[in-house]
Amino acid sequence: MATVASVSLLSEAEFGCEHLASQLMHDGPASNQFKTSFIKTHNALGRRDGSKTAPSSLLKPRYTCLTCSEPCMNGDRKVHTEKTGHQFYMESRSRALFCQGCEDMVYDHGLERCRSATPESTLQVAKKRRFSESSADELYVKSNANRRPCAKQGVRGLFNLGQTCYLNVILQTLLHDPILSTYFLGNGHQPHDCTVTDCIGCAVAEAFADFNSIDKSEGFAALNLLLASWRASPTLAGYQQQDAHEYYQFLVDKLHASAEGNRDNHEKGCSCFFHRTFYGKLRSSVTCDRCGNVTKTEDPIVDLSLDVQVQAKKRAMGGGSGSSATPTLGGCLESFTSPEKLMAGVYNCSGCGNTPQKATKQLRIKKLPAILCMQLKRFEHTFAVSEKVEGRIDFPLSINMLPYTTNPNTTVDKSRYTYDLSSAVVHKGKLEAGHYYVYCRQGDEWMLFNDDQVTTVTEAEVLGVDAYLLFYNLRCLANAVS
Amino acid sequence: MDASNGTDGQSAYPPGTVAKLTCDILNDTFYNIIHDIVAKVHRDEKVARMRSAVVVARQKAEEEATRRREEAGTKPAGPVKTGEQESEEFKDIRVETDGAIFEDGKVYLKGNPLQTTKEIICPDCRLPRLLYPVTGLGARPPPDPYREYCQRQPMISKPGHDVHGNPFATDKLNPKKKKQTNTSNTPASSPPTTPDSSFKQAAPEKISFPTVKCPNCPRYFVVTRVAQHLDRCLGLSGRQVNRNKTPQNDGSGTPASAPPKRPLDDDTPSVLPKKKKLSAPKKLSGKKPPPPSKLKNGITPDMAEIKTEANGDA
Repeated sequence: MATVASVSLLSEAEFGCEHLASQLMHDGPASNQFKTSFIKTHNALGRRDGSKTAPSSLLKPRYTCLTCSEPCMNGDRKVHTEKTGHQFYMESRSRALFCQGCEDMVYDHGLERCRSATPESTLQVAKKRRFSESSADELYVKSNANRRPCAKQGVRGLFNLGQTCYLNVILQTLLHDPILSTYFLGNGHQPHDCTVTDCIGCAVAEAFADFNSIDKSEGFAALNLLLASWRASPTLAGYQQQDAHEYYQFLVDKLHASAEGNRDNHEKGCSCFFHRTFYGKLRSSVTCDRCGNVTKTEDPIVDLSLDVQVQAKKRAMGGGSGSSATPTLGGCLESFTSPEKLMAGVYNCSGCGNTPQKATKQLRIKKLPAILCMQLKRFEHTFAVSEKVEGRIDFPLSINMLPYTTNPNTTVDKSRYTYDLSSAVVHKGKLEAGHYYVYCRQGDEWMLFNDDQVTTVTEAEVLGVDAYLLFYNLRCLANAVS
Repeated sequence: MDASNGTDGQSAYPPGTVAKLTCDILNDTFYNIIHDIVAKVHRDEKVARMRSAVVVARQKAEEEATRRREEAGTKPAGPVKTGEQESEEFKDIRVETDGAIFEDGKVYLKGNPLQTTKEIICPDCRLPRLLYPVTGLGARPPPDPYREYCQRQPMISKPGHDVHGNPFATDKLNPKKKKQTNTSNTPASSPPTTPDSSFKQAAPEKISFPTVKCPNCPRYFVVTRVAQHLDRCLGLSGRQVNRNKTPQNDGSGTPASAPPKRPLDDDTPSVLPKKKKLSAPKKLSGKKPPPPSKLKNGITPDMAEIKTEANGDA
């Protein structure tokens, strides 16, 4: 789960338990060997191919001995320890360390850090200094930086300034994003040095600072962001309702423009922070039905716009048992990335001498952003009518995006493509007028942000809503695919 | 949460009855679900206790360091200490608490923190945490009312109130209307009478929306109306009205048409929210609001209010 947990070295014990301390206390071959076997077992349990392990006891959690990698069941562990003297096991489901000396799970800060790395580089990463490792650094930071106040971290509403709920839901989503919090609270955008007038970056930075630093629980007003948005975009300007999705695109675009070292031309590959955070790439490949010539184009994307109507229609046409099932997000992604026949005359094949040919078009995700926004296209605009598609679309708390990428069959660690739901925006009302509110995850809890009214909700409630926008966060940034 | 690997082992089961197999799989799956939940709770709790044990030990060590410094008679270091200085001070300090040992700037656990440490201490402010909300659903009174607790408390779940236990903000309206608008303002809440009775001492019964200064002009507005004002203040609605009514003026209309609107706004100076209240409907009824159709269709709570207010006062 990606959250800004206030991990503070000063409050972490040196070792998970006394027994672990005696094992790891002295740097040497014994301690290194232990770490290596920890990581190895950890990765082996993560793979779940199941072919190598004994299939007899697959369902219940096993405890793999870290010394001789023998899997034990819950009851056999004690016997194994008495026989061999091996004290440490790894539990197969959560991959937590079990110490037979304590007869309890132990959670060692140092070892847990070794977990989140790609299998190949784990051993190197374990040695590399990725974070500030010494508590001296932290003492320095502590005495020279502002601390977030304890009170209800990050749970504040945003006042509706009058038809600004479209802005509130998007800003609230961004405010709860750990990556963006780190960026803005870490002075990623410096409003004092920024010379751009009506800079969106400054306005968002100010909102982040306001949201996090002041020890107040009531809502606040994102007035400057509203002003900057109105000044920056004539279409958004004015006292009227807007589409939250359009506003998100606008905001991402403007944030990208405000970042240092950004390039306007997305094709050349921009390495700025916002580009890496928000922008993915979509590959569209068109295959000519006659000669098999494939034309590929890649476009930068900030979100996936998923057609829900097609889903609904398919269900309806399928009839029988299929029609009663709720459409799912997975189904939407499926149809988004499945091949689609192009009508004759739309595509001119260069392989067939630029003559119009029938062709098959397929969209695939080439690159996934760290913050993945998915829009469920509930607002349908055809020539004749504009209507809103109501109804529930099931979405999961976490989703594996690997099947929708350009190489869905690679055997990489699934966790590199695992995304966790971070926010769900709901639109209530009709097409031309309505109200937005948003469910955001704050740590392990879910909150409903209805402008300035903040209430707790259960996970089940969140999963039951008719979402319009879904925001997913990459679970583990260390594994991010570059 | 990990996906259940329930289907993997099916073929390896001895060829018994399907019922036996199904039963086994179901049992194990339920076992795993419960196992995962317990494991998560265990982890959260144990890590919290571990940290508490460490914080307590560290605090004790710091007190010890201060005491030694005073004994040695050295002048206290300035408020801004660098990390090196501080770690230097802890060099030869060794203190022991129930749950941990502090030695050379490092803290080692002693025994199982689930047994040794009873309280959860906030690592940031070093005050004990409350484990239950103080009001609302599942509330319990704080264990020691005279003690100071960490401000980070469990989220409060109470109808008509937010997670901090504050009642939802409402618009300042005539007392007669208060009840009616309160319910319309908070659609998911219970009638305002229930929270009032139990929430007397903690907070004011009603919180009204604050006022904010317009970023473009020096006047103050109730926060829910400021976008409407800003629209006018920036001359945006003026342009829109122009565009809708007289398309030929479109290009040059923006700056030219804005000033004439300003005096209209200024003759109803609304610095105080009280006056603002009176002036808002006047403006609405006197001068057509920019997108009339949208306003009529509006269903956001504040928009509904504008309508009721306009109807009531006009």
